[in-house]
Amino acid sequence: MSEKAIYLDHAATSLPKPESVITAVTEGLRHAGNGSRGAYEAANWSGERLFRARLAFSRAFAVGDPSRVIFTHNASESLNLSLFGAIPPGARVLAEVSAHNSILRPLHALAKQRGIQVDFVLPRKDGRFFIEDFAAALQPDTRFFVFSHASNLSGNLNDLAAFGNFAHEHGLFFIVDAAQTAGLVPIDLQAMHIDCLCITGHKSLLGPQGTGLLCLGPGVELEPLKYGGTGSHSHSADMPEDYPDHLEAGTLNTPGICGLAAGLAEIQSQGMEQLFTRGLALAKMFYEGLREIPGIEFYGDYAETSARVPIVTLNLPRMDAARAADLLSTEWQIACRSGIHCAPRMHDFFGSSDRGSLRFSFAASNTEEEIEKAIQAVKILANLEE
Amino acid sequence: MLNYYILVENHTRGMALHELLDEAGLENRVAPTPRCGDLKVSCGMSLLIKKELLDAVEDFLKDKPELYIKIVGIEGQLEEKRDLFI
Repeated sequence: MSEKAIYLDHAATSLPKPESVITAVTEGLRHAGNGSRGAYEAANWSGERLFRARLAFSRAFAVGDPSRVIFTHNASESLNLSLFGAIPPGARVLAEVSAHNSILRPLHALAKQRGIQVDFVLPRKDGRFFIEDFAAALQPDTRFFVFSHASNLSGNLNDLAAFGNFAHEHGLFFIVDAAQTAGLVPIDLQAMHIDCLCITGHKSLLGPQGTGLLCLGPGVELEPLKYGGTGSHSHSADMPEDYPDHLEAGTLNTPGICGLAAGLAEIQSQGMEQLFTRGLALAKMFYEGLREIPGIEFYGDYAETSARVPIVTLNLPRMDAARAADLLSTEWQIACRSGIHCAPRMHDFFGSSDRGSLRFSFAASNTEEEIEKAIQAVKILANLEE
Repeated sequence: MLNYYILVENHTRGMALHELLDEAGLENRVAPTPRCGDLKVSCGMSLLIKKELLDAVEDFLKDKPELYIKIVGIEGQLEEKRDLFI
């Protein structure tokens, strides 16, 4: 990314990564042997860092036991592992339409392969979800609940503690997609009654792409998605029963995990709340700079008191979103994301499936000057004919 | 001589125990688990301790059975054809 570029696509991946993350990945590439596969200096170097990372994440998300922190490659893998690992044939699942394709496609595959039934709950005005609508959608045989902590399209942030209580009260196995929130807002796995917390490493956790986490609640058992070597119980033809080995076949991405742990340390050092507050303030500045422009349509709940993540999604009055994103990139070096954002059902709800939308997402690393330039650029595009 | 192996389920549990023993001042180190006898039921890594620390370690672990499988002395258990340097 050039120095002049204005990066407003943090919901896709965080950029630039902190220097501490880059250093940690580089150190991993220099020193990492195969952790848990040997007991010499380089293998122990890895083994110690993998353990320290598990410990740090188990504390950060209140998992309690570091062996219940599973390293994956992204939130999609964590969600696949949770959905395919937990849901048996014929089961009934409660879901909602803000779900990303990393939920929708596995559910669709499970419907075809295992005959599961999925009940999708719609939001109300501005894409906001209400617990009573989920309660109304419950069927006597509903056992699983898949829920997004925040929509990657609307930016609406849900009250995870309240929905966790709802899941707990109704005995639902609770799978949470925290791709847009982990590292940005506090998540307490045990207090929120989460069974599977699915996390990506490369967004708000500031880690490298190709890293992710699945944090398991107490007593949760999943069928593996992958089978292979673990460095333990190697005489057995079955995967080890103990976690994390039960779900972690194959060599781990140690350099990436070193970077991911450094990302968490960076957040803890700077203060999660401060980072979140600044990102939100910049998003608000962007929204306020454009809200009065005639014809711009915003998606999401932007009321003053609404809980949000730093995302602003819109459409211009007379220009296709993809064309606008291309002009923003080529004329102003502003990086944002057009399209469906892998959230087709939420676009259906907003009535924007035929044109997609233009999503701007912000982080504490952005500056007020960048936001002002982006506002002026969007204002110009809003007055152009396509 | 380090010749007692604390067997663990997996590397994560082994590292957790390694830290606990270190914090308790009980000398130990990470080592490959010999694949002889019933040692093969465990992880490929284990923790080696000295014979003279055996009682202290067992005492330390008596209320922590979830952290390890068992402690095994290695003397006389290795297979001669596989372990040429013992």
